[in-house]
Amino acid sequence: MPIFDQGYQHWHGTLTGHTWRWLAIAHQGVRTQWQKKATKRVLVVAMFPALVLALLLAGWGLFEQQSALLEPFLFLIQGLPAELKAGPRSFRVPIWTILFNNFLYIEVIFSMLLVLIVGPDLISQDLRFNALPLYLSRPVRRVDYFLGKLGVIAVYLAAVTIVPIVLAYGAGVCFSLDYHVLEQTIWVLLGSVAYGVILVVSAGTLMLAFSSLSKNTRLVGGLWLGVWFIGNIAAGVLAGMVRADWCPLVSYVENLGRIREVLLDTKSAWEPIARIFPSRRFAENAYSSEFPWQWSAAVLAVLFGISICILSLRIRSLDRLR
Amino acid sequence: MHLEPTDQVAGPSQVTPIVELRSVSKWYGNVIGLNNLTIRVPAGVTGLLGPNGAGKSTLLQLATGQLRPSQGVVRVLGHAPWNNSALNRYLGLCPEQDAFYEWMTGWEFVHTCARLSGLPMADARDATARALEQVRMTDNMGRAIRGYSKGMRQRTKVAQALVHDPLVLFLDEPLSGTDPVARRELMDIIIALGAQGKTVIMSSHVLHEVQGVTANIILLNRGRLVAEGNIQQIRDLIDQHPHRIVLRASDPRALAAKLVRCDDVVGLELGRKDGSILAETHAPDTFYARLAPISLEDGTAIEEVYSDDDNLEAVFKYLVNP
Amino acid sequence: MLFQLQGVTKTYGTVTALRDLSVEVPEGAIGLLGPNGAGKTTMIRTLLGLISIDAGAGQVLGMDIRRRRLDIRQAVGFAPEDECLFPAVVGIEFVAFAGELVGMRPKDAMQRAHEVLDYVGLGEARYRKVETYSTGMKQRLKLAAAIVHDPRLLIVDEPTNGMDPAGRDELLELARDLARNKGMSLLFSSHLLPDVEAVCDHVIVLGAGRLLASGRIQELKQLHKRQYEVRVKADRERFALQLSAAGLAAEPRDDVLIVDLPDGRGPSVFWEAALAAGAQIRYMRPRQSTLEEVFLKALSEQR
Repeated sequence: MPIFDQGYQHWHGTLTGHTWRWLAIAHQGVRTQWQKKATKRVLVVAMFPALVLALLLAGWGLFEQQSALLEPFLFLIQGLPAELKAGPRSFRVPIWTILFNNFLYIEVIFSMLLVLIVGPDLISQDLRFNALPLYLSRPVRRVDYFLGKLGVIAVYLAAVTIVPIVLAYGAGVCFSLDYHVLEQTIWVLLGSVAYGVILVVSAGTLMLAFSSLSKNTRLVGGLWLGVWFIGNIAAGVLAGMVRADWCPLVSYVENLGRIREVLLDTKSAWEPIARIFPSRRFAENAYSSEFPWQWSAAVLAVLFGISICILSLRIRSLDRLR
Repeated sequence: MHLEPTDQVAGPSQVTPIVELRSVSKWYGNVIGLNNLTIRVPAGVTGLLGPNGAGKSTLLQLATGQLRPSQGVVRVLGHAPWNNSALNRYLGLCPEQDAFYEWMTGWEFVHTCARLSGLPMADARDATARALEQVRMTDNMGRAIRGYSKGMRQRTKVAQALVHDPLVLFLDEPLSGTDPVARRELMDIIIALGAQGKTVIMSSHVLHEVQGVTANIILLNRGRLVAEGNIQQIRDLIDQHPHRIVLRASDPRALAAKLVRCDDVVGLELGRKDGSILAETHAPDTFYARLAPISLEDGTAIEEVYSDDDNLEAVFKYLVNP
Repeated sequence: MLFQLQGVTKTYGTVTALRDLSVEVPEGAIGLLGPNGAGKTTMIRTLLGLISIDAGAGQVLGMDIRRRRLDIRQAVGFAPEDECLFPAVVGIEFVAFAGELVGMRPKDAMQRAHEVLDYVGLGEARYRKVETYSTGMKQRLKLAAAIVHDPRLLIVDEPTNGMDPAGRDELLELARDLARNKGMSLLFSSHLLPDVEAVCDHVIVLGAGRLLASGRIQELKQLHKRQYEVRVKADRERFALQLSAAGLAAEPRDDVLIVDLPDGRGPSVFWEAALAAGAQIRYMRPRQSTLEEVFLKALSEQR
């Protein structure tokens, strides 16, 4: 037939199953947040510590091999203790642990900043424009919605924590040229990745809970800044006034740090370093917090629980009267 | 307070216009709201129609004194409404927007509006009860407005417009969101008000509602006046579109054969689905006058006659998209 | 059978939204009427499998509303009444995302979104942000998002809210086209009864959580064959007098006269009276109750 019907056409494709629905939501969220200039800028700047980490790991690998490439830096190496210069390989795990720990410590700032940029819009804009009936009247459960939105934060946080870690680890392994490097340092990698996952889940859920509290994106951003800065300031003030062990618990970032140290076991990493550098500076660094890590874990778990409660109250299913 | 008419009504119309605009223009920056509009609205119910952006809201805001015309003169009950709080005692407005004090009950809200209009305390109480009874909100008047459905909010809006017994009532989409029961009741109220001699200007997009309360309309398009007056008379004046008249007879083709000989008949449609015929004519008077004789002739008895486009929908369509 | 509910009951605290509701509805264009608070929204959500009912059973397109809730939503499209938008997207992304949420693959969703936006009449506007759309455009966008996955049943709730007459006509035309020509079943919930009449063949009336009336519109609107509505131009009283001289009682209502024709007499009496009174008959038809009358009657029977 030479003239084709311009009206409504039926569609004969297939619909996918239920499990990947959250991926569509996450994809849409990532695309939307990517369009902000601030997101791109922070991601670029966050790459610098990752580069430094990779360079340091590579440098350490060369140091282990007593490579000739390090000759321009001999003046730095001269000042190091003799024990270190004699057998670098026995210090590999502590050095790697410390490097990864410090990298993650610096990246926390970028992580919090990224969550501040990417997070507030996610649910508060949906509430403002009343998008929830559009989601829920399709085969999308509240769980899928939540996972999709969490996925957006997860993608950006992973880009500044987990991905650089894995890539830097790879660089370190390559430059070590030693069969045993994997079995010795695998726990560093796993610990860092586990920390990344905990960061995503904890910070992501907390930000989503804040985002669901208000239709005003700026207010949500303010709440997040409050948790970040005021927590730190309060911890410092309390430490000055009360000088108790539990003071750092008030700061969200400190809690994350405590968990990180436990996962990477930085305490045992600092011991050999403190031994060969007898100056007191390193001894103090070994113990950044005195309280048991279980308290921090409890604080994070409680925050997670409260966030889930807030989310389930604010994102109401359509099984209601109005 | 007693208002003295300050302007004598001039012009050829014998009916005293209650609301009068003389060469009124209003623009917002560069955007034109009304363009050189001259209208005289008499007592009774008048429908205000037009596509989106035609200037209906601007007209209502000018007439209630919320805006001042950029050019021209606006007179309501002989006085200029701008900055004229004494005049507001005699005007009632039911706006389109939904802006209430949500914590107040319906009764409190209407009572407050009554007091704001200048009614003394005792009168205000009676007037509130009466107005709420008229709109059938007596059962729900003790509940807070935040719990009201759309229809109930709409009825409360109409109540506050009526409570001070105004002489001129401006209604902007008064029936939106109401169910058919409330719609019928409100339409009856409006018809009753018109019959009492009050002036009601009702703006609506739903043409059959307007047609249900009045036969007089004002049609605006792009800020200009397109037509004003009785719907039937306007239809008769539209030359470009011949009147479409449907006739049902026992022998439709014989009837058509007789009609085709008449000069004023410019088109005949046969073979319609229900067996009727459609005649098009530019001279409805001549056409209708000959139907009785034709019907009484042999073989061409006419069983039904009605016009396809004798209504407001057709008038609107022909005038707005010529 | 499009959908059926058997004895469905749903309470929210002290409010009983649906009370032992049983209804069977064939495929086609169905109107859903009812006063505010009758349970229309709750019934629609039940049909979408969004709520868990306290008692009763139901099937939508053959799928059980308790067990296959997600599958139902893949076969049904819903355009809600309230203003709903996905934020910060342009029109085409909106519709494509809506399709992906139902389970379409991203490429399929994009292709289909363009097709559907052509159908609803959003041309170049689809590349603009949805926050800038006028009310009429938002309603069309909602409709497009509801039909992007080619559902077998389309549920629309007050689709012409806030639209001007031209836009309203076009949207109703789209709804009619989908229901009558393209084989999509339609559940049309609206307070504007003439709109429902223009689009639907079948109508169900709810009141206080129960079914008050159900049937084809043409059957519910009884044709009073012996009762005529007549409107004449100019002098109505003279015409009425002529009719009473011929032995017919004429009751004036609005701008027409209601006349009961006794058996054995046909409409020719009107023409004779018109000739004698020198009046033009402009409207003469057997009286048919309007959908509004059917609705109000069903409601009053409930009380």
